[in-house]
Amino acid sequence: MRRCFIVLLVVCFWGLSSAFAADLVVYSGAGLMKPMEELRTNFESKHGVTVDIHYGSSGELFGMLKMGQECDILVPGSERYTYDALHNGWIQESSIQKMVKHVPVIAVPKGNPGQIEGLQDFTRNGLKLAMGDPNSPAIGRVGRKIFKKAGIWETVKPNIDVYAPTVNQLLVYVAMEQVDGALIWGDLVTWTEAKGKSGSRFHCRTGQYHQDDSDRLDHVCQGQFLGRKIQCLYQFRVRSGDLDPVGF
Amino acid sequence: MFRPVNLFRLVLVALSFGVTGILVLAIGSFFVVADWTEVGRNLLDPTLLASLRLSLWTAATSALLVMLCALPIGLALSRYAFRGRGLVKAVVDLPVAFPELVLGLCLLLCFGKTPVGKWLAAVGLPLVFTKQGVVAAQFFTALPYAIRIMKSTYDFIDPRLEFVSRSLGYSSLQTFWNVTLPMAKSGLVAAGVISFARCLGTFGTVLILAGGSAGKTDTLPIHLYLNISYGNLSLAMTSGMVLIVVAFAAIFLFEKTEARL
Repeated sequence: MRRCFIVLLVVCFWGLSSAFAADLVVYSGAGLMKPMEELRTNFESKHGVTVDIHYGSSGELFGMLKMGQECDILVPGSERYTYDALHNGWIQESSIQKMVKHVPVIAVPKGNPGQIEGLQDFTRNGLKLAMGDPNSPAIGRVGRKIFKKAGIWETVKPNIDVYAPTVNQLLVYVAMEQVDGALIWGDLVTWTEAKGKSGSRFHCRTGQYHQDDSDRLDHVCQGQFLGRKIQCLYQFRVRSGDLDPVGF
Repeated sequence: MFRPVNLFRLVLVALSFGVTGILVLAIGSFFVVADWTEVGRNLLDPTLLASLRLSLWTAATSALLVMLCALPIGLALSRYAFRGRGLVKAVVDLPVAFPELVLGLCLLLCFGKTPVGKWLAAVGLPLVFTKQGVVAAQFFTALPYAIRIMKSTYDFIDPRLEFVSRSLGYSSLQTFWNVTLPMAKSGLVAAGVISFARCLGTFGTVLILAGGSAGKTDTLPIHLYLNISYGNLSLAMTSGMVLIVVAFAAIFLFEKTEARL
């Protein structure tokens, strides 16, 4: 018994000490979890180092930095946060690399019970919608901008049942059919957890919203399928240059 | 001249002081780092006050509901042998081991677009993304703790006193009310205070079931989390301080009351 206790203590201390031994600390937007985990696995096996990734909403990551926490790499959910970090003097301009472009999409539960066929449908009475908190995750900020540009923000607001602090929470609410629709990042729709549970109908862009049909979306997926693995799996678009799938 | 040093005792006391010291340091850092002018201003912030009001009334309601259920369930588990007792005990205890987020997801699935959820919504008790949902989330998070405390309390009360009461003509209910409950008062206070504190601090369950929408379902822990997300650290820290003060006041009152009982 006594021997067991001592062995347990040693194992605990060993476990704790190895858990703290990350060589590289990354702060990443929660919506990027899937590709970041794939990058982490590839990077760790190639370079033999450990990578500790902290996920949160972009706003939360900002809060951590503001509190004096440090990271080696910051991967926020939108470009705006990168430049805010630069403005605050937390990152060096020469180190900024544009990796991918996030595409906002309308996500609806399987079967589209709310019969949402476009942005204008978000204004229909009786719909239950979820939205990212405009002050926290990047999708919240972008979503509000999209609705404002479409001139329907004030009409959509009464239909919003919940403002979620992270984009992942929006995906949970859509996949679990708790809401009729939400604006989320396109890559999230293809996450394994959401497969068969939700289907993205359209995609739209800030500033030049246009309604696409499903064929068009399929075409986009197909096109991305010809690209690198990360992009095709998660529907990210390469922003500039090639992205090394095993390098940050 | 000198008493021999009891090394075992020394290690235990040193460990107690060490861990307590770290806790005091962690809690104290909140108050040391704070800019008190900002804290004073934040204490009047309407979002913080709304969040405090919401936290206090939901935690009080949930704690009351928890106690109303924990009293009879604890008694049943302590006094009666019935088929499925082990199962009831295990299931009721389960949320203690659950991460709050898992419990939140379970409740969301149960009270969402299911017949139960639809029926509750039809009778005016929608639990998803609502203040009532905050109460439900807190209730299910705190209930197991209260049941455990009440069961232990009843376990320590000599059942022979209840037999005597029954033999002198009291019914089971009268015996519970006049004999068991007065003897269980210190456990009752402990369970009430722990439930209230647990309800006040519930985070993950509320975040998932009630949504954590600013100005609608943001209890103090959610308010703290949201303000970290907004980069408004000063307000987040003030929310934390208010939480600490309220929790400390609850524990202090408990200690005082317990001493009097």
